[in-house]
Amino acid sequence: MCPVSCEQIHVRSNPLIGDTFEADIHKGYLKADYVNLELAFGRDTLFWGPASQGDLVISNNAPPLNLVKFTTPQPFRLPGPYHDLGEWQIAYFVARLEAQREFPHALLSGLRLTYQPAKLVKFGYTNALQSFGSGGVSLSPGEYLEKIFVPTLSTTGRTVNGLVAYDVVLSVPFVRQLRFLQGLKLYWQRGQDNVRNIQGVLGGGNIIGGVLEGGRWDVRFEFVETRDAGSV
Amino acid sequence: MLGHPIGGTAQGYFGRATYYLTPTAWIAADGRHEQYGFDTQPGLSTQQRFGLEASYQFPWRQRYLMLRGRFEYATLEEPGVASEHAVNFQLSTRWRF
Repeated sequence: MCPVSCEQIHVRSNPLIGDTFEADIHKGYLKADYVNLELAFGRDTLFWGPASQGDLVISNNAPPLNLVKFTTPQPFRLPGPYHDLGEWQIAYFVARLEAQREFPHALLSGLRLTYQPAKLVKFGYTNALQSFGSGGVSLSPGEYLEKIFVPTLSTTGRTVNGLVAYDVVLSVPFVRQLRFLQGLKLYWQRGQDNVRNIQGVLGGGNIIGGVLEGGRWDVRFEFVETRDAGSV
Repeated sequence: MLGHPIGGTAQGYFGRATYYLTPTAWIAADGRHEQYGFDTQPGLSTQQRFGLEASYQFPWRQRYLMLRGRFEYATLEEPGVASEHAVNFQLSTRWRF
């Protein structure tokens, strides 16, 4: 066990929000880790997926969350005959949201799985749902487990709010033969909201990007689009 | 929404370049061009942001202190409204012990 505490002090001035000056401590958490399992408790920002600021579901676009988080910091392999299938990583959290919202103190739960079957390709899956809270939907343990692993995209109206996203990261072999482009990775993530129909150039919310890593430098480019007009 | 605004009918381009002075110190420049309101309003809203950022991690025994700063210039253009310009400076520290 190795307890760790971390804090961040944030100072900001922004004329767009009325020439305000703010100074506050907005992140702090305790961590305990054992072998390749890590448990964190406190207030922290979540940052998932291959994109620059997180994925279509969980990003640092939101304020830090009051949460409990369980992760495997390093990729792991399954035991026995499944060892050669590739490497896996898991992250799961439950956060208690603020009071000033439609369902006060609702719980936001999220799960991310990544699977890397080979060195040049990696698949990711992110699923998040909002439930419980004052006036929100309550779930039985069985229903909760089902919804955290399997996105429910057909619900409508006053029900469980959910988001899901799938992503792939590729290193292109023939491009890597060029010395300058050895560190090139391309990624694509598609996201879906469970209560709205999403339509875009590629059929939904999308992030398409690439990052070129050159040792002491890196360059990144991204295109992001989200749509909700019309049917999927 | 916590991530990018799914359902917000937005479209954006983002670019960023980072140079690592040491493994624990880096400088970066980024730019973002975003448009909102596709299919939902007569004209599009456009936001552009350009930032310079630097981070340095001070070694201190087994612990460390990280200092990070960001300077940002942003513009916002909305239909029927005069353009807005903003300068944003952020300074943050992190102390792990």
